Amino acid sequence: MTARRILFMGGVAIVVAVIVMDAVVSRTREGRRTTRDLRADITALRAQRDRLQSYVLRAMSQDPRLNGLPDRELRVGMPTTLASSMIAAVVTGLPEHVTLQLEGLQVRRQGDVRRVVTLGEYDLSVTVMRVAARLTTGVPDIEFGGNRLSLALPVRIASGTGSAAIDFRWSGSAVGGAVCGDLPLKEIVTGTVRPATYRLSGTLHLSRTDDAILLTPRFPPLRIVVRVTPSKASWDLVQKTLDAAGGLCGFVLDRVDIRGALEEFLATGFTVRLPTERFQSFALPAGIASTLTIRGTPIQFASTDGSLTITDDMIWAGANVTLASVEPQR
Amino acid sequence: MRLASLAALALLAAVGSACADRYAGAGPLEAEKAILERELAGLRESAERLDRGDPVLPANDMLIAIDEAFVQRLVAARLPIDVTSGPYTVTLTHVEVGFSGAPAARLRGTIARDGVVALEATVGLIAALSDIEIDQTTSTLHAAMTADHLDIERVSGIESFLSGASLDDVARLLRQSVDEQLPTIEIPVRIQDDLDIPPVTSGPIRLNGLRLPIKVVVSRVLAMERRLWISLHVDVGQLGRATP
Repeated sequence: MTARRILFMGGVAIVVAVIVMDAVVSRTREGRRTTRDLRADITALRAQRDRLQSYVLRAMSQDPRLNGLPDRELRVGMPTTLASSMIAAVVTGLPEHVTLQLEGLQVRRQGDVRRVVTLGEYDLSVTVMRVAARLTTGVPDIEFGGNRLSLALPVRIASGTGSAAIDFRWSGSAVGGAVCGDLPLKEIVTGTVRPATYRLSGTLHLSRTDDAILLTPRFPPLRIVVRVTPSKASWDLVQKTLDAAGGLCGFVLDRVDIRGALEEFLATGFTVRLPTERFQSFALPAGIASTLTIRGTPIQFASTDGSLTITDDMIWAGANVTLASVEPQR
Repeated sequence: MRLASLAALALLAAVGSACADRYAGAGPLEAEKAILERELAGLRESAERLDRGDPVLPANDMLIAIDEAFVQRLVAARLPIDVTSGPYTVTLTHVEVGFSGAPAARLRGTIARDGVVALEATVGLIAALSDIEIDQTTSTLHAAMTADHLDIERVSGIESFLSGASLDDVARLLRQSVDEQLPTIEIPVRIQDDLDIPPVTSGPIRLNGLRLPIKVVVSRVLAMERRLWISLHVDVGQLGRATP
């Protein structure tokens, strides 16, 4: 074999070995894309991405909720419709859990009765043993404007019951006492609470703290009057007692006019002030946290440049956040 | 003789072709492709919503908008991240976040192998924020990080490093380990799930302690124009007594 032939055969052997190696490597890279294929894939994917991105960005630019987005790194936004739903859920659900209860109120009337001469003195007291009323509310009107919500809603005394004790004492003079005696009258009168409707109006003031959007209620005091209408049965009982006294005693009782006094007392009613000053601020359900846990360590951080923006659609709170540097753990 | 020359030329061409690596430089291209695919997945979801007549971000949901620079600081605060896989240790030391369709992040670091002192190798990792949820313990948002692609970029001391395995195989194995060991990222948004109304116990008007149950869940995540959007669906329940 000549040297040339040996060299040629050697070259062929090398070539075959390279081709075999390439085949082996190719087999192990099965499923992988070549560089050329990848470049083609990327070109196609970029075209799709650019087209879809344009579509989505155009839609987002037309979303009115994104107007007024604060120029801050971190923003939390609540739709005004959602805020209204929350407030409505509170104000309409609240009355079911409210009890209005009056006890121990008393009115007293004293005087004397004369017919030519003083017949005697009387002491009439009416004591409210208990009045319990149920409140309801109607649908609230909520309006956003500036940095506050205006809220107005009907508050209704829907129903209730009451009872009062009548205590009449008569101290007769020589003449009157001899004729009428002491004329004691003690009766319990029951009745129902007269329905009435009031309007509660106020504002919910929006503000922000470092980590929350707050709603602070501001309502003027609301006074409602609870009036009780005595039941017919109760009146009948009182009247029966009064009718039983005749003659001079009947005159005495007519002059005192117990029923009139009671009617007047109940018609005036009982004024109750709704404790609107006790309505406390509450936070909306999302805000900016003031601590983070990084590698198991709670880190306090500061939010600065806080902002609050209210539009027709959204309540936006925003802040820039400064993270303290964290030492790497090794 | 001529035949031998022609045969030699043909063989040389074959050798040349075989020697040209059709996969050279594929790593960075695969990384870019991984990012594009993730961006497209998010954009397709948004486009489908628009095609149905729905807004990109669900109506009536709370919205969180976070700039990518802030997210980058959040991720950077977790660095360095060490991940071990067999004899290899990946240490991620740098991050760059980019939100243009997907909440993606590029991390860079180094790789070492037990027993190999003179090895110098860098890794590039394409990751994405995923599974953004409310952490029930802290009542804040947190996000998992998912490793989409890992590339071993520059290696010296290769004969010690490979030890019979190809760079691609090592990168694939490491990506799986990195994916399992990447930490969660806490996002400083606090979620409150109930509204409590304190009792009123004096005066003619009395009120029990009340609670308005509020259920909040993450409904959508979107990364667009250098900003991460998270929408939160809020269900407001009925006002009831607060249980102690």
